[in-house]
Amino acid sequence: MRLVVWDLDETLWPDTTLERDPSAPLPAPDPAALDVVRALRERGIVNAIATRNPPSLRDRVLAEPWAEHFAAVRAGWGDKAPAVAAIAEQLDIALTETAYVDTDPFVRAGVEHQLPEVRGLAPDGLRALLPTLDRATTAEAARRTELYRDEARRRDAARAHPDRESFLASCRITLAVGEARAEDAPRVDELVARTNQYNSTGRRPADATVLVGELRDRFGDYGLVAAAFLREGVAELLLVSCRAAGKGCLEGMLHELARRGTPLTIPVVPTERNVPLRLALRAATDSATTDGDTVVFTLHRVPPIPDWLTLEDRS
Amino acid sequence: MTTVRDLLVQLLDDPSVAALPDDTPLFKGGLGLSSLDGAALLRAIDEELGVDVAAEDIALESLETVGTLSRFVAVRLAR
Repeated sequence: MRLVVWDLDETLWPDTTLERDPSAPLPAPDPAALDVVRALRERGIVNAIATRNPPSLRDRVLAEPWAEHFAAVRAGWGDKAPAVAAIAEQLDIALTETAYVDTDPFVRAGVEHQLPEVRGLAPDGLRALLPTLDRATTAEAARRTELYRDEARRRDAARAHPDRESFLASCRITLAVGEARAEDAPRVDELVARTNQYNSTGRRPADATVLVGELRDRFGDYGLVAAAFLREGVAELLLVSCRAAGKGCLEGMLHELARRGTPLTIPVVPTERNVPLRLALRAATDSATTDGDTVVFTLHRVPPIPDWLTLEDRS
Repeated sequence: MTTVRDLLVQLLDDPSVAALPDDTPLFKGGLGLSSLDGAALLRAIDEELGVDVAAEDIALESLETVGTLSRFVAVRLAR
């Protein structure tokens, strides 16, 4: 046995949540049941909760101090069997190694009927099994619950921003990059003068190749929003308009600059205002070193561009 | 005393951030902060806690995970 999924109402705690005042604190778990939970955890067996309650109960349970003993909590209105199966799948534990604990024999039988591999147990039956279960032998086994919980939190964090990538993909963002033409000069001057947040050094070098980037998406045309002054493998000045931030301009420019030769270094003179550029370069380059007051970001190879960005030749 | 996590909770308006493990990346593969979010976080840390991370860690190496940034700020506050 590696996973024990607990029913909540009338099993892990003695109450029925829906019959309580929703603004009242959650009930305390039955101490005897919690002892069993702890004993299982010490044996490297993972505990989880599946409850037929509003989905919002999950976060309230996870905020309770005793929830640290549980690797997963599911609250919802569906049948118990799919919930148990989903927890086992989430934790990558076979159903044959899973037990379901409920005081209600009807619910246990229902789970066993739908999931014949799962063993249904009453809390007393589970307690009686404890002496037959070995203690955890490895540190990983003893920490298994924490590892699962960390993983679940990470997934939750990623889920909090699920739409960003698909949203960007739906925007049809295109960056056209090419060497600056004579008529681009006024706009390049303007970028040099006005860009603060995505401005690498503030110093415009002489005798550099100037690459510019024009951005558009399905909402419209942003115009010329990026410029880079390249000289002998060094992007001496890199500028992106903040209107274009987060739309792949920096990644696209770095890709095009590195295509002209690697290693490519991007020195940045830190200012109060250019923190966004420093952060973006940290994410987009291979390394960062400090040289006195300058941070030097380096690309050793041509970096990939985001899936949702289309790069075009601007000639 | 306000913590880096408190400021992250405020920034993202998401109480669950308070319980995230220390090794949760701040940017890609974790909280998914944008570089502008990261800059806003550092501004808040400077204003609320008086630690100017962007000036003291110019390569911003402390902005890896929730834990690395929390520790960087804690060490500066302990001085």
